[in-house]
Amino acid sequence: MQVEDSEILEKFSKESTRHEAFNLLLNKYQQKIYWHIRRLVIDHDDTDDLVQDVFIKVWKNLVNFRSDSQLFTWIYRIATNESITFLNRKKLRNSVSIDDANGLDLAETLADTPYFDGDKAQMKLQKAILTLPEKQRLVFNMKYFDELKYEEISEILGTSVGALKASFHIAVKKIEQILLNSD
Amino acid sequence: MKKENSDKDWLNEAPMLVKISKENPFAVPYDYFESLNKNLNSLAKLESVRFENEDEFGLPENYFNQLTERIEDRISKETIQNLAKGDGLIVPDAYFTNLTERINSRIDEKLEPAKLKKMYPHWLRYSAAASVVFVIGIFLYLNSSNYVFNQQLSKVPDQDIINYLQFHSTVNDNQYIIENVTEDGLQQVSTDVSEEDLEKYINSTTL
Repeated sequence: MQVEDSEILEKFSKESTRHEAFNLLLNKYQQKIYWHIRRLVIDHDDTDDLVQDVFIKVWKNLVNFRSDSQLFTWIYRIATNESITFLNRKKLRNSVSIDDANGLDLAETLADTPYFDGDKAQMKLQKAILTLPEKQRLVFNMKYFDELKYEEISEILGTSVGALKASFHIAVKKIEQILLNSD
Repeated sequence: MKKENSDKDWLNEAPMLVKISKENPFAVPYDYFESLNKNLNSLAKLESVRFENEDEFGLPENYFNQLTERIEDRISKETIQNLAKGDGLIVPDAYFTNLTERINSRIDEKLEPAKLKKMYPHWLRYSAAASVVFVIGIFLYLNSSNYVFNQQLSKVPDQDIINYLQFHSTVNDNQYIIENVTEDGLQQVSTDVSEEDLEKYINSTTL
């Protein structure tokens, strides 16, 4: 049975139970955050670095967390921002255009990663997702794989529900077209 | 219900997508999440003791006050260096290539030994030196004796000298005095000595 966010926050507020609270938080969210980042950056080692960065930021800033948003959307937001910053930095390092809509760089990483167990169809799907613009890819992943509600995605990305719906529908159409053309 | 339906609308628009398994195709190393949990807990403990003391990294006194000035000085220095590379002094063409050769040739000239003929045999040189030393030594000795004698004489009171001369003088002494006394000395004698004393003296001495 998973512990409630309110309990985590209460334990975290006391110095004597802070580490216990953090451990509970990790147990509850570390895998979700890991996969959220992994679908964005593809490479396991990059994901590992980012996950650690994210949770250290959580540790440092949780004491200042205001309950005007949910705890997991707050953590998701940190993870999303860290991932986007990382991808932009990587593009600059590799002299790739920041507007690289084809995601060629990540497609190469996907082709090279040893940590991919999917079948051909799943590989095609992942490659198709990588062709989407960054924000569209985010929306698609959070809606399709994480099955988050539009309201939750809106909290994470700071985008209206209507814009998110439109973005997701466009993403689905593009992917479908690519899958059809690839056969 | 309506909201739920709108969320699933896309299923009708993407039949190919629907066919593909949603199962996570990505893998992780064995035991990754267990070790991740431990790593993150360790990192959190490390963060909690890090930078506890605000003054952990101390700074020299007035560091920031002086920093601007030091940076400006450095910038000025580098600006000058960029504007005036080197000290402007020049040398003739190929100066340094010939310099080593010229220095070496001058050294060779100085080191060439002079051929000397021996004019005097060894023993004559040494004996000449010994003679010189001997003469100098004698001279010094005599002078030192006179000097010592004069120093000793100056310590004897004048009356004692007079008494001695009175009792021990001879005809030759008188003759010596007469020949060597100066007019000034004579004046002194004639003013200081009475006629009575003078007569006594003449009578007491043997001519």
